[in-house]
Amino acid sequence: MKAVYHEHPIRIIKYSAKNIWLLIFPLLRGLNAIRLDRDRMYEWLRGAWFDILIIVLIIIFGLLRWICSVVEISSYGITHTDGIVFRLKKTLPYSNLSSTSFEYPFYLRPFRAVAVRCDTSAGIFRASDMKILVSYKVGSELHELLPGIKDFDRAKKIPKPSLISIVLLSMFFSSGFTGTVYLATFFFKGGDIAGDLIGSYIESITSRTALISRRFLKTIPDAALGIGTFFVAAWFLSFVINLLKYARFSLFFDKRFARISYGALTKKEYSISRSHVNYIDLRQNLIMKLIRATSVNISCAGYGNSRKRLPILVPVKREDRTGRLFEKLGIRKTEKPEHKPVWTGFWQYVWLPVIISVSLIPAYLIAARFVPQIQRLTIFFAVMAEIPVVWMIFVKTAAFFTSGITLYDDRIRLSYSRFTMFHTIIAERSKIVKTEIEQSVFQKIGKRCSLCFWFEGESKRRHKVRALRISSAREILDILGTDIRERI
Amino acid sequence: MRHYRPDRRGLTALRILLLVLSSAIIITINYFVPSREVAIVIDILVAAVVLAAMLIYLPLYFSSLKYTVTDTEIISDSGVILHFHQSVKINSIQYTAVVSSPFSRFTGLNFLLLFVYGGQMNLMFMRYEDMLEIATLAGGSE
Repeated sequence: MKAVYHEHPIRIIKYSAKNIWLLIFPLLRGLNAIRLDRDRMYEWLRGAWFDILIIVLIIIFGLLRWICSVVEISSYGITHTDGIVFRLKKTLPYSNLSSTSFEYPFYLRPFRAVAVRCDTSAGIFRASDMKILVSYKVGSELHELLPGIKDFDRAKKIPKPSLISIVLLSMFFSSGFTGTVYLATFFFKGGDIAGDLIGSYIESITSRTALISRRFLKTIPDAALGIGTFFVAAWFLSFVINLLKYARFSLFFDKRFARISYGALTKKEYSISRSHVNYIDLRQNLIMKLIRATSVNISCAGYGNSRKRLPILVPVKREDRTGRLFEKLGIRKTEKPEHKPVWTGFWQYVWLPVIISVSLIPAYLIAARFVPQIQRLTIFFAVMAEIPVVWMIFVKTAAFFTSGITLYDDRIRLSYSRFTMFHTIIAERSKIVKTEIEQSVFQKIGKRCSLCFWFEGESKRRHKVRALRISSAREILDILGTDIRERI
Repeated sequence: MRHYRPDRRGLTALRILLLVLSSAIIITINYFVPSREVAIVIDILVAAVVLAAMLIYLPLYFSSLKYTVTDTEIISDSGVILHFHQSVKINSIQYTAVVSSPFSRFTGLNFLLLFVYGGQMNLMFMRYEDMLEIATLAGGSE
């Protein structure tokens, strides 16, 4: 069985655009004409046929590229052959496909074109291994031929997430919700204070200058208001985009595959091979932790690869309602980690925000003493700087109480925090590619250490659990069967 | 274990390509650069670089190329100034890409790209049959 297809004719435009460099020849010709003789410019204009010829050549190149771009589907894998002179023939076996995706962007709908991507776990870059643009007809045939869920009646379906779940997801993951609110407040309030202070200072020097400057200084609060509004507007835009992106979310899965689709304007359908999922990542920020909500993400080559998309499996859901879902996905829910950070390691979690928080007080006192004229502004800056630092202390304190490692069945569960985000990683132990023990002099004295893990996947991400008792670390490494346990 | 050497016809093809390319560059320079002296200096420089590549670098590079295929691994040795010895496990190869040119059976301009976890390995200037043999072994076709 072998099916051969061409890409969608709209691809000619993209292939043509790649040869736009050929326009350098008419440009050089033009420069040459200008330099030699200004009067010959008219003659050069008459010679526009050459430019037209180049444009025609570019389109012919695009057309040839399209003719030469062939997709073959066999019982073994998918092959894409591309190139006019040098022919690149890429073959991706089905057994190694980690994910395939079908994207229906709104701007390609009039042309009835669909972008198909196929990915494997190979490579260091997050780019797709194969990307083709085909017609709806070929797309639906590829849908049938490529591996994925075929019998949707027998597949398990996760209930559609509620609207509030999608709204919360879009809110929390839209360019840092808390950060935007903070920055907007900073500029709204800070601009007013700065404007007042500078105005009154100039006024005290001379009443005449003040008259001129008052009008001029009005621009300071206005500019601050503008910047503050910009941050709020940027966040709101990001929120709306995310809302449109993750609307109509649905998830089906059977024993071998998961099928995820979402998007209002641009619909995306992913087919994920479950054996290629590197790990499951339950993400929370402090607000989500307080309201006991979580979003379930996965690490799988080809899914949520771009920075603009999150690798979501389940949008925001209350933790107490995830039990049945986790059961379906084969995740055992454990309340508390088996190996937790030791009490003496609390400082390891909070040292940085605590030091910054404490040093802000003398910094403010020094500034207020030496420049008393701007005392109002310095206290404002000190308070505004203190807010995120105190927030971080709360985050890191929560991280200390919730971090840890659990080993069960053939899996490992890591709970830790990175910056302001809490992660719970659940992975098969066989997916661990690297383990590292981190120990400072103080940790050595306190008989503690940090354990770092890397899992299979295109992005080499470190997962670090701090301040574990050495005996716990040895026990974990012993179970994992790595010899580095003898180094501590 | 089987050893593979690059196709020496690839060296000839590369030399011809370089000759054509350098001739085109020299013609373009002479056409567009107004100063005769500057054009001659650039022509000499281009000719020197191309001759050095054709007569010294490329023959040494082709001599350094060697590929070994065992039951479990594919090993590549290459390099003139710096020598590289790379190996990939056959079972870690996720997919393959074959790059061929017109008349590649005769020109030796055949390349095999092996994509593995965390990177890729390129086997350059192979005989067409050797390339297909390794591609099949690496899972590039049925």
